[in-house]
Amino acid sequence: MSLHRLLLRQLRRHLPDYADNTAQQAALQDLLEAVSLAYQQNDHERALLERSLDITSQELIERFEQAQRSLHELEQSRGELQHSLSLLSATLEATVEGVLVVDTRGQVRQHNAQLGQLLQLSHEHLSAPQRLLKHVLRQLHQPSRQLRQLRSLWQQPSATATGELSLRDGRQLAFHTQPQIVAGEEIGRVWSFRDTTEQHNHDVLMQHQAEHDSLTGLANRSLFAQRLDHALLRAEQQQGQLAVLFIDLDNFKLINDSAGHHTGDELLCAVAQRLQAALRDCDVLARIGGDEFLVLLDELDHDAQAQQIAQRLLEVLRQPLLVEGKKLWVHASLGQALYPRDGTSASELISRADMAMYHAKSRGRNNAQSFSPVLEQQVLRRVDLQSQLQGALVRGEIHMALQPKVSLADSRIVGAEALMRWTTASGQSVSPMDFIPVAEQTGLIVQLGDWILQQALDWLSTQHDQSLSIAVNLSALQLEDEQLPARLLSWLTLRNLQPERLELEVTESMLMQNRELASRFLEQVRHYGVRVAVDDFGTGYSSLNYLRWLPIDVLKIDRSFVHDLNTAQDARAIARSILSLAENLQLAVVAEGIEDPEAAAFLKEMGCSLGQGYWYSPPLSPEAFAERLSIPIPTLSALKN
Amino acid sequence: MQVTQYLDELPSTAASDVQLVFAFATPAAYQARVAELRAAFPQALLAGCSSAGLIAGERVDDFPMVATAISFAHSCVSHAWLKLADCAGDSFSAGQQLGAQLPKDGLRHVLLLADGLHVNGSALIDGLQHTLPAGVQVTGGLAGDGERFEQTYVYCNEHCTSQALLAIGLYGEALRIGHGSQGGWDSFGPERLITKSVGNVLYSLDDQPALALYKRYLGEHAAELPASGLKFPLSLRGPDGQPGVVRTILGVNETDGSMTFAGDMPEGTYARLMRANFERLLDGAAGAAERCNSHLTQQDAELAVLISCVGRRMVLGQAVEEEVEAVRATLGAKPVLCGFYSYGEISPLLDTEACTLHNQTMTITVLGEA
Repeated sequence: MSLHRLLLRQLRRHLPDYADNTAQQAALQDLLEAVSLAYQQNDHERALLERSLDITSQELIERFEQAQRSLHELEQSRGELQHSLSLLSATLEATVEGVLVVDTRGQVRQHNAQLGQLLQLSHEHLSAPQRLLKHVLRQLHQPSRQLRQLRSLWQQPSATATGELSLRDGRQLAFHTQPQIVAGEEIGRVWSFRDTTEQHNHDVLMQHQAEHDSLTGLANRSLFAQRLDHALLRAEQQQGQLAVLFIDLDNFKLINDSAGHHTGDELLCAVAQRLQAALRDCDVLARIGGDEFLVLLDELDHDAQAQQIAQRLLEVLRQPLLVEGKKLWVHASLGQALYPRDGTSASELISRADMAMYHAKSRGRNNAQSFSPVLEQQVLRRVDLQSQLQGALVRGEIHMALQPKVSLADSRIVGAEALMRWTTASGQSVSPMDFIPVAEQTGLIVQLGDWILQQALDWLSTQHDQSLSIAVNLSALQLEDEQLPARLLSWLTLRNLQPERLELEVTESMLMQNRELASRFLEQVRHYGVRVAVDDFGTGYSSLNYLRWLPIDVLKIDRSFVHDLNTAQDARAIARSILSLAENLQLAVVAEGIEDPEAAAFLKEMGCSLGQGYWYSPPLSPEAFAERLSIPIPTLSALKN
Repeated sequence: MQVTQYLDELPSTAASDVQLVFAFATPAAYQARVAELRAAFPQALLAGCSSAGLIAGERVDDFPMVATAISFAHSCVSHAWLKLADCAGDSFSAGQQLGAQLPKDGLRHVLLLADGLHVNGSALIDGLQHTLPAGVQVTGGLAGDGERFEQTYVYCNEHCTSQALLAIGLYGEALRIGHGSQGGWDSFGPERLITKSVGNVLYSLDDQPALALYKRYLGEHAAELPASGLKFPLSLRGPDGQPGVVRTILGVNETDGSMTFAGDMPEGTYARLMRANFERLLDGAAGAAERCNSHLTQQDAELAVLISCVGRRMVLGQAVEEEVEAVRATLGAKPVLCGFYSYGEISPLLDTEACTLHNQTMTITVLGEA
């Protein structure tokens, strides 16, 4: 074994002879080896110690560096987290919605500035859930309703809800709420609010416009129908009564055309106000177009009440209206339909009130009429006739009939009255009393009128006897036809007929109702030489002085007087008066409806020169008329037999 | 109480009053001389084990055998003997079985000699202590195999068996027993977390293979593992920062980088490397002896069984006898000193009742009779 070098050195120094002294070597060997071993072990120990020290230092440095890195990473994470938070905050602040985040106990965890604005929050309000809740509820229109909703949400933490909040200050907020979920667990709830006031107001406005008339602000047809439906439901349940009134202004078109549309609009508004003021709170007034109004009279105590209110409405309209500095008069035709008597559905009641209104129009306007089943029948019939009449002329279903006009003295035929007869394809005869009004309504009267006139003139031109005349009835509508006189003239000229041979008959009431128009028309035709007769004389709103001014030639005594000549003293008196009047005014007279020889005798005796009636002849076809013409005239005495 | 120590020659005449003979020896020597021992001490329990060095008086050497014969005036001896194979290698149940075998009436103390390489010392002691009456403590040690770490033996009468356990029970009111255990190693460097372990096998510290750490510190001495590992025991930090135990390496596994220790290495415990301080080792030995004095006065101590750790011998090197001298100095001239260098020491932890496995300590059991 080699000895430790330190030991060797020591030996060299202290036992210089050792290397050569084998005896010494032998003696000291064990000791020296032990010492050497001890030195070696010492060296090893020290080396190990130093090594340990180095390694430990290194380890500590490594750990320190790692800690530094961890710290740095932590700092970075913190920085990133901070950044994320800032980003989140900025995002939250950048939205137009107010956002509120609460935890499961209702404590506010997050919110943005917009929320504060929308809900007018201060720091205080956000500090406790109760305070926040109170503050919000106080701003609501219907806090109890919202509270109920909130309670049900509280019990369902996983529920989502959307809704609207109406605030006292008029604002509208839309809200949405849903649970906040992290790793599958509900840790809170998120609320978002948006100001929808504008949209809401817009919607409300749209809704209003959809249900109301833009000019008057009254309900429109659809809203009226809704209200009527509801009222009917109630009335049905409570067995109550209600009424629907249909109001149509009588001369609105005239005013609109003459004073201008602006005035017309103002007038409508004024009318609406008047009507509204005359109605009760439970009634509904609607404008359904033009100059038409509908009224719902709800919760009536008795039928008569409807009548009363209707009359009241008409009355308030009869007072003049001040519109744009002008005093305007407008009255109305009113039709009423009652529930449950006249109908049970909204459409039934409205259409029947409409029919009644038309009836009021036909009864001279400015009045109120109730619905009756007859009206409906009339309407139905009218509609039926309308459609049939449409093509009747083309199909040749219309014929002319001629009633002989005779000289009372010798029963000689001096002329004829042209009458329209309609036999439908199925063979049904329709009285002119029925189809003329229909024709007038549809405007067909113009064609019919032209047709009968031309038929009459055609007939005239075929008669050898040039002294024969023909009379044709005019309708009021024809009076409005400004081109008719000229047409008439051309027809006359075309047929080379003397105008005097044509007589146009207008009823007394027609003349009275359309004085100006009638005058104008008649003057024109008279100018050409055509004669004018007043039909049904004595039955209209006669005022004697107009006779002076009207361009007429003939008075026709109404059949009602002729009929009663035999039995009524006053009838005779009137007839006499008319004859006298006519003579004095140099007008000719024709008696209508002579049905028996006694009447004929009376008239002859009174000095009436002309007449017509069943006694002499019913209306005949042109062929039959021609036949009649050829028959010699029987004497009165002969006829008595 | 009579104590006589024999290094070479045994008494020619039988000493029938000898009840217990501590025969620490090499396995070869024991087997060769067991008949002789039996002849000399016909009534005695022959107990011993292999070691990493023997203590006889103030001398420390690799003697073939040191026999220390004891006779009590008023006390008795019993024992329990177990082969590890009989309990499927489960140290805890081995301890239980040993304890079950020992008579309990009058039991005052248990001396435990256990295999040094195949036993989980802490589990063994745990199992044994559960069966013992209150107040009875266990001291002892794990058999050694020099610096070879290959095979250890425990001797019980005729038995000279590897992977065996011997528990010696001491009975009688007159007995006076003292014990003490102290190390003298210092922790250094950072704390390392035991991240993977199974029982007394340590796999990783701070998620790094434990073996790699040792090789780094040992440098060229890594070739001498596990022996060189004795220079760096691990101190385990007790719960709540209390001082824990010291653990020594018993073996290494190159394949999985694991290291086997004498006792449990629980996961989640913090460990620190330790190194020996020469002076403090000696202080430790003296300290251990002083603790014995607190239980037993110098007058009464007749025998001191010194079980010191193989690591200490390595560090102290040729100066190893100095620690025994320190013990002598503290215990006084009277007690006979015997003992061995072990792979682990068994003793109560400081002043608690709980006995545990120690490493790198000088553990002393002092006996006397009143």
